[in-house]
Amino acid sequence: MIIGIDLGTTNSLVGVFRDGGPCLIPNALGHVLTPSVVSLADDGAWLTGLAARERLATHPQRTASNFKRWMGSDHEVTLGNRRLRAEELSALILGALKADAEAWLGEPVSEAVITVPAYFNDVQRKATQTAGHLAGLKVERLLNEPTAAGLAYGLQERRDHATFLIFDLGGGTFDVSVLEYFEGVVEVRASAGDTRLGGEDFVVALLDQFLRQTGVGEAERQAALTNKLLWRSAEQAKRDLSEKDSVELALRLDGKDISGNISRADFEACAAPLLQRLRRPIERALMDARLRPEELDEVVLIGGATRLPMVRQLVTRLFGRLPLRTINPDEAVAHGAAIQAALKARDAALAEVVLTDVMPYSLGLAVSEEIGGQRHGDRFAPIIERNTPVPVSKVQSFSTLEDNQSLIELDIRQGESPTASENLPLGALDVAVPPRPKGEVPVKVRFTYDANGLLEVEAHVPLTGKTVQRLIRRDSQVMDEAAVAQALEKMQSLKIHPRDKQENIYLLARAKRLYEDHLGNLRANIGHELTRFEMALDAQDEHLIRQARSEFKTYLDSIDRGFVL
Amino acid sequence: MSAIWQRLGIAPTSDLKAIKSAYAARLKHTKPDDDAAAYQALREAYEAAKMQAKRMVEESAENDAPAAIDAEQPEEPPASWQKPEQLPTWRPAELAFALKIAVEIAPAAEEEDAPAETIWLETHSSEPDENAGTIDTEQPEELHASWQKPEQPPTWRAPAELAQAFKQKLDARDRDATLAEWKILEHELDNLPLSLHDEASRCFADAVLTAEGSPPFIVRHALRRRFSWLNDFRVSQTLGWQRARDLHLFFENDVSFEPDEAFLNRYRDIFAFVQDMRYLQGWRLMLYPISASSRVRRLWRELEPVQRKAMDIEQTFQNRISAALDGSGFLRLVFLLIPLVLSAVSWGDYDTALTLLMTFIGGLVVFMFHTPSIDFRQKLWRHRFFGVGDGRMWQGIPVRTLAATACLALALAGTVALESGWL
Repeated sequence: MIIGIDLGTTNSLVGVFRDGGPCLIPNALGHVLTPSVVSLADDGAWLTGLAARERLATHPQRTASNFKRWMGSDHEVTLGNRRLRAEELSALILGALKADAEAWLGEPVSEAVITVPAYFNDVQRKATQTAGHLAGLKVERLLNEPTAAGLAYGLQERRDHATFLIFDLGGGTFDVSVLEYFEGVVEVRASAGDTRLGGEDFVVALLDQFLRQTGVGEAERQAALTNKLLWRSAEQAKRDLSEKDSVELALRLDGKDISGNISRADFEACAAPLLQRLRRPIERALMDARLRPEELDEVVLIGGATRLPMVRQLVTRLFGRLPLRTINPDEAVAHGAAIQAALKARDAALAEVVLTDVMPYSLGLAVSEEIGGQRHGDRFAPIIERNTPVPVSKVQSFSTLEDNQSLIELDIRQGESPTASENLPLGALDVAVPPRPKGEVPVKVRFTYDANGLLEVEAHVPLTGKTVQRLIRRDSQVMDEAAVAQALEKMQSLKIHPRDKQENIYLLARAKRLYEDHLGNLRANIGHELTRFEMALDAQDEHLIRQARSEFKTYLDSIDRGFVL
Repeated sequence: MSAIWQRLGIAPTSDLKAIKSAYAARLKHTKPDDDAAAYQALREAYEAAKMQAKRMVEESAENDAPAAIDAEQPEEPPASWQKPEQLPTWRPAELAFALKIAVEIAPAAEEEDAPAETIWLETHSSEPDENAGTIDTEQPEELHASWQKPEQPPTWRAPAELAQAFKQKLDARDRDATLAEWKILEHELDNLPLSLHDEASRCFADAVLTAEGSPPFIVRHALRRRFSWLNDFRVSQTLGWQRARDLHLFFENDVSFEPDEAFLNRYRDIFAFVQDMRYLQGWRLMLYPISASSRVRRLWRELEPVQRKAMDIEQTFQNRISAALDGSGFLRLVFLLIPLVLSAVSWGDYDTALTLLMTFIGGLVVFMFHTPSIDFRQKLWRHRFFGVGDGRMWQGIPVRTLAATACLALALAGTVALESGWL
């Protein structure tokens, strides 16, 4: 059984394809959304999901969130006395999802389809694959998130010959994809995006605006923006502003209490630059799909941040029509991942469905051009242009620039700028060539990009008949085999909290957070209830525990209005 | 040509639907996962067939119905394409859902009275207001209609009009007026619907290229960023090849940078330094950069070529200054070491002098290979020779400083060791 995983910045989901349809798997707490948060418990075991998220407020030093943003970089997060890379943190989440799926399916799971933002680059994709490997999952396919959503949407609607645009604004990433559905074919026409723009940025903008209004100093403000304790209140305020015109926000910063009102107009004003950044990817995707906005049949919004009224207004204004949201914005991507998993497993129900995807970015070489006797260096020569259908293999011919040149250095880059140095370097390949006058030694460079997102570069020199071929060398930012083996060992030594205790741990963490949030009588009351629950746990009587748990949960719900996700 | 149709298994046709059907049928036996090469061939045939079909339709439209169709709908896609006016058939469920969104959006319209600081709110409210006004469950048809033709009451000026206003200010060569106008235009551009984006890009490109005066630096670069004129190699698709190339040349030869007050203040040292360099000749010119502080070097590196050009520094002189500043650190070290070497020699201890000299030469070698302006082949050679990364790993580390300090420390330690007779 192959599972489909939506590994999100804020929340992750897991699903399978069953009885002709995608189906999401609940975690130990009975929720389909598992927060992408990891925390190191006091006993040295690792917590994931809601229990970990409750600890964001109480144990910020031992808890990590939003680590998807560090995917494919060398950034390490320090939790207690441990330092972990984004791959390792993600592997913990993937491991938890895998355990949920195994418990639900009643069989071991070893293969998965994992979704990534369409605009994730080569390095970030590789990191996601590594994370899956570390969690003991063979990553059968990395699927672009808007493609997954489009797949789910296209198959759900099955409106023939429909062209639609998926606008995916998640917690930390933004993607746009234009898709077409006809006769069982789900065809991605173009994708574009911004990997550093998402709902979390709106929270930062809101918090920043609030602190400015309340007259907090510059230095304190900068420190406060990274403060995980304030995050929760700001997130809640952001959600409330979707419904109300103004909300009261009270924060505790360095022992001082700051409170004030923030209106929706203020929020929209400070988020205006973020909204502007949403435009460019849309323009680019439509340009590449050679479509005019009127030719789209539908605009589909997915991703939690599309709940923001201002985002919906922007889409309405840009396309001159109201966006449709007939699918659950949180779950669409996971549904798509489950469908792709079934496609991969050749599920009979999907025999007539074919998905074709594109590569969202361009791959090419850094070259020098000679125009009218003048040489222009640092030019980018794309070999596979962006939004080419994958898998693809393309050849282009290059030649030497100097007389008697003996070596050609292929500098492989990814990006869209015509200036090579502005694009991301992926690696290099040395090609020995026979010394001849300049321009007389052609080299045929072939780029092959397979469906799994692996790039292979091959250079052929017809004069010598030699071929240099090598899987592209990774940046230092990618973990090499030794590092992966080491990390794998590290992961195995990590203690994970048993799944059946998850709910208890979650309730304890939540109660502790509430205890810290409140004062006076209520605090004493929470403390009392907490002790009672702990005593029930100590009794080790399963029946008693179940009863105490249900009472305790009802009690906590009454305090924080049952705010879960 | 026939190979395309053969691959799709149909006779040449201009019927787009037939092409898609044929492609879909073939695709089910040529899945991308199974046979990448066959899929690529099929997909290329499919894309080519679509292009040909489009051309066929265009040609037949030109031949058969010369005026009628063209005159009426010059912008419309060929008839066999998906017709937007037919496709959006709203089902009751969707309509109800859309209504819900419309209602959710409606409150924004009410905020019109609120002191809206952003253009975002101001311009936006007019449109949902439209929708909000027609929200009436008894008249879903009317609501439907208002979505279909949201562009009927245009709340924005046409891009050509915006560009015209911009060009007028440019032609007048009034810098302040242009800046003021740009502030307004920027907001208006923000609020243009996507369908007009390409047109706006073209109009403004023409305005920039044909105007009498050049736009102020800030505006020029805001325009460049807004329309991705330079950082997307595909922009020639929207602009047309000629225009894209002209723009590229325009920005490449962009010398009309008007430094503002802040700029002048920040780079005052650079102005003075360059001025001095111009007066000097021969060995003085070589030695003068030694006097330059590291601040001058840092500031110089900050400047973009455009800005350097704008400061009236021609290319060859730019290169000379860069080289001189890069070399100045090294030269300074030489001057630092000369007294040391001399003192060692004057003590009559030739061993010490030799040690120092060798260390010095070692430092020199390390230095030579860490010049930042080194080209890639040298980087590669260094990579082979010293086995150090690909050169990028050194960026950001003051390697040269470290190396120089290490050499100096070694030289000193050597002197001390020799003098005290430990060696």
